[in-house]
Amino acid sequence: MTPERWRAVQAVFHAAADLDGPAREAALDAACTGDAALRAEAVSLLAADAAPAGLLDAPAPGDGARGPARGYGDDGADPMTGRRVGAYRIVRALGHGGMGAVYLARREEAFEHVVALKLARDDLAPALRARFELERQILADLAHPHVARLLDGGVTDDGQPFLVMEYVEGEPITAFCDARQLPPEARIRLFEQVCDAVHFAHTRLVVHRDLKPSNVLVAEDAEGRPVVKLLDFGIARLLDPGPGAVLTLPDQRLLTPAYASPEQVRGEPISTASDVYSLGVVLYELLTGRLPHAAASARGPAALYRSIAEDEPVRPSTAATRAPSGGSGDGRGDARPGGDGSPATAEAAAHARGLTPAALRRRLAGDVDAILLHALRKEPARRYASALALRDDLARHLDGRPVLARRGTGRYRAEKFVRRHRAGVATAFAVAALLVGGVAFYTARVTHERDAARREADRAERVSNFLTDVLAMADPNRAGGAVAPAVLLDSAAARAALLAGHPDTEADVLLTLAAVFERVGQADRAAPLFEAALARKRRLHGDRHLDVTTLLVRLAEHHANGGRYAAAESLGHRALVLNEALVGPDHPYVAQALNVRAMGLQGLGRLAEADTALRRALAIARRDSSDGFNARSISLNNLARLARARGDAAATETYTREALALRRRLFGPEHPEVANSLINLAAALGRQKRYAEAERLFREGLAMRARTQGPDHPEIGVDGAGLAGMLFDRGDRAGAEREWWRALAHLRRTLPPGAGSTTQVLFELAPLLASSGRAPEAEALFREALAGRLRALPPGHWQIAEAESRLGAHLAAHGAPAEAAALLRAAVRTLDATRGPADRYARDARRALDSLRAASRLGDAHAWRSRLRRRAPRLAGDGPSRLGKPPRNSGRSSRPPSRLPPRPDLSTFPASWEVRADGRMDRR
Amino acid sequence: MAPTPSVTELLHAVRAGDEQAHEAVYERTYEALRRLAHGVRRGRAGDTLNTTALVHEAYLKLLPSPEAPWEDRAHFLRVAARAMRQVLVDAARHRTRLKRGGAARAVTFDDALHEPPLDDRDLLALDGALGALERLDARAARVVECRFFAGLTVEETADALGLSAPTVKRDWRAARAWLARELAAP
Repeated sequence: MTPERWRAVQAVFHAAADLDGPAREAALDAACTGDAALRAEAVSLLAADAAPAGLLDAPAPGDGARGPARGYGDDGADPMTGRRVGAYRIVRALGHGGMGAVYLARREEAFEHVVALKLARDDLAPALRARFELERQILADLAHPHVARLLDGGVTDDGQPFLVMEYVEGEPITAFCDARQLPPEARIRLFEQVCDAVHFAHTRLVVHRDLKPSNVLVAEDAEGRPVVKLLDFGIARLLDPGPGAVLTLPDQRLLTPAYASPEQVRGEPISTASDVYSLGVVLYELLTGRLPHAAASARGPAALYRSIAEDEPVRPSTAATRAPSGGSGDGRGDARPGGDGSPATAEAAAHARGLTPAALRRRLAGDVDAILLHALRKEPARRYASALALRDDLARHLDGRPVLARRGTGRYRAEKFVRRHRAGVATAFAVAALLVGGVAFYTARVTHERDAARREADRAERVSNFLTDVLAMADPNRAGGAVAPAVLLDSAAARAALLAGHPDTEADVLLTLAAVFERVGQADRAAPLFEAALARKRRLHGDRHLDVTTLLVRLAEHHANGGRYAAAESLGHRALVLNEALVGPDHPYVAQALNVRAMGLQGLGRLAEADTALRRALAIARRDSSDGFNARSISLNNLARLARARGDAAATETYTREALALRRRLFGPEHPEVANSLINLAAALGRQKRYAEAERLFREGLAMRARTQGPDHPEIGVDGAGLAGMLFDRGDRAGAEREWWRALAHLRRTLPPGAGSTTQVLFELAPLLASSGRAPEAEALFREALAGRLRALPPGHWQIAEAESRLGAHLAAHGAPAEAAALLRAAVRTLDATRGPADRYARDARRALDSLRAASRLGDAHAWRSRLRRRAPRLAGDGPSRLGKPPRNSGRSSRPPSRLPPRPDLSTFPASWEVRADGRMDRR
Repeated sequence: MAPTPSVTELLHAVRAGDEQAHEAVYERTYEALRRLAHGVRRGRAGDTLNTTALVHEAYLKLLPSPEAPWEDRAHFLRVAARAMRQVLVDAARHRTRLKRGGAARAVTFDDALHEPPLDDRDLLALDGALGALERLDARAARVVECRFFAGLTVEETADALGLSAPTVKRDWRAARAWLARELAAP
């Protein structure tokens, strides 16, 4: 064929392609004008157009050039074939399982993917719909090379829920290994990938709940290396009809009993430990060719459940020489061990591993027995603490090092994690510290309530276990990196529901999570958790209970931080009245309520009343010789802050000095708390323009921090930024820049990417650079800040918009109007939706946009540039803190103020830090 | 200027008529895609395993400026489609070589480029057929490269090739039929 001929054929083809029957014939006749060869050519092309084109259809251009699902006609057996589900077109059925049917489908719009699409059974619809919304983001973020991703999901037009997952081709791990006669070493190495993937998901607090060989697929890569891919992560939870119902009602049984953990069989709460157990079962089968409770499963499901719950599994080395008793026998196809890879005899099992039964037994005796039995312990807490711990022990075994399973490990203790966190500083550190503070708090309270000691101990244990799990996942030293706090918290909040039925414990966990949300800059998400905790405590105890008043104090504090001072004042007042009635007027609990109420009063401008309340709080604290709540230094700090607000520099200094002296007495000369006070004092002196003294104290505080908390503690960067701000005030731009860079480097090194403190420093340094004629450098920092917030915050968060607004303003002033306008518009949209049009950043962004628009209307490029350049430093560098603190004193607007939460600045620092209900977060 | 010109600079040179620059852009793009594909295969977390993503990632890597002129973007996508085809074909050849004589057929699951599941022999056959189409209708072959190998949408393909969307659709449909017939032939 020649190109000319091809053009002719094409013309005929297109003339007829969209027609059928006689119309097509007529069109062909008309176009070919008697050229029979041309007609034949076109007809054969049209035939090819209507038929499947194999490979070419795989990425499935979704432009509608071809009719829907044309070319898949021969797969028409399933009525779903060719149907559109959401944005997907079903290509063919892949299989049918307990949860519903699975299809190969392709996306019709922008991103052309081949996917696996699961249509849930109708009766699962209500459960799925509710849960899906809760967890979809968590699951969608589960990006790991060995985890098939959940891509999408929704409800069909008929109301049937569906899930869309990455499509994976491979063999179940057991079948894969058997087909290649892999020896135990190779199987263990392959299994390590499974552990990695499971651990990764656990660090995101996603539990698989249904690990089994058919969900663990293996394929080979280009170099012929086997690669594991886990399917259906978190799907079981989506489909779980509810706690307690998992395996008890035969009709609702969704999981695969042979691989289920004892707690799943018993209908108890499921945790990451359940997956560790299932991993143990899969590895057991992988190595021995049998299931740990194979004998019982032959006697039916009831016997299998009992055996899983009660019997010790047969030692793997023993199992290796026993004749297998055949499948798990509950009649469900996917429950059979290893699908079709189940060996018929012990000889076959050994042979599939390249060994004789006796050799396999010897190979498994000792280490492997110990490791598997450790993973298969009945009590979740006595198993490996994580999938990673299991993997590590397997690695030790392969390396010939002693395995932990044989040393009789005890339970993981929270303290261990804490210690590791102290070393491996990360934002998770803050989370960990708070959580551990919680544990200590609850434990301490046990001693106070002797009559409830039993119940409390149980509760403390539950909280401690829960938090230990969370900590284990937040460990930054773990493979896969530390968990992004936002993800961790989202998941933990969802996970707290597992504690339903233990309202006291649940309330404590909710409270802790609320505090963490506050701490990581998502205060808006804390309020519902506080309210929920309060509601539970009220239901349990009524209003007149210290747990309830403590929560009232916390909630009041939360409102004060958010600038809702009237609410803070009124809640504080209620807590005050209740506490006075409960414990008498001179109790430290009363001091707490006074402190928080004073925050509200101060915010409302009722400074004299605030002063009275704080003085009374201080008096109470002074009489309390033990000062178990640390109320004295809290009250002193609050008084210092109030004095600052009243512009009384001398009083500020006096109170701060007293707080410093108190802490030196309480903690000794070298202590992080003393360092905090030193830095507070330094800031107070800086405000009095006593710069030399201030700098000396800053540096002393920083040095003490490094000595007492280690040179890699993130607070060093935070306080270094405080020093930089003071130098800037002093007019020492070079010094300020140096310290800001240093702080930035420190925070980048010690905190995970996107940490809030790092972003704050970026926002301080960037305007300085911009105003020094170094716009490109400034731009890079603004971009880093935006990238950080995009990474750390959920989409649509107003702080992302704030970062967009700042970058947009900068770009508008420095010659990138197109991108600037896009950023500013996006910022305005988000801010209007989240903070309202009156929000300061929304107004700033709007003003910058107006300038851009005006400039483009006038066609005067110079006008907007110079106008915006004048505006930009302020826009980009000035603004209220992200905690909604009031602006600084007047006359300081030229200096980019620090918005670092722990900046040593009593007036701008949220007083919340000083009135923590439990006295544990009382720094500053 | 730095000793190694940026892709943006190279594209600028291409617009000024520098043929060598065009080749340099191709080489850089090919290398970037190959590395990206390899990186995905080696298990870098967070990567989407599809060619569309690879092309877009290569774009971000090579043309970091968000304000790149649309000519540059179009040119890049055109080059990337060709390079992606080459990367896929090279990988398939590599695997086929490795597998030669082995009992197992190439399992195409992994390899960054596994989505959709590509069979190596099919892929190589397609590459051959596309070569034949190229001699008949170079424009249609470019469309197939963009649509099939780079996973570009109709609109992106239209932008990349300087065509209208209906033209892209028509070319694709005819090319698909032609290729299907070629591939089905014994």
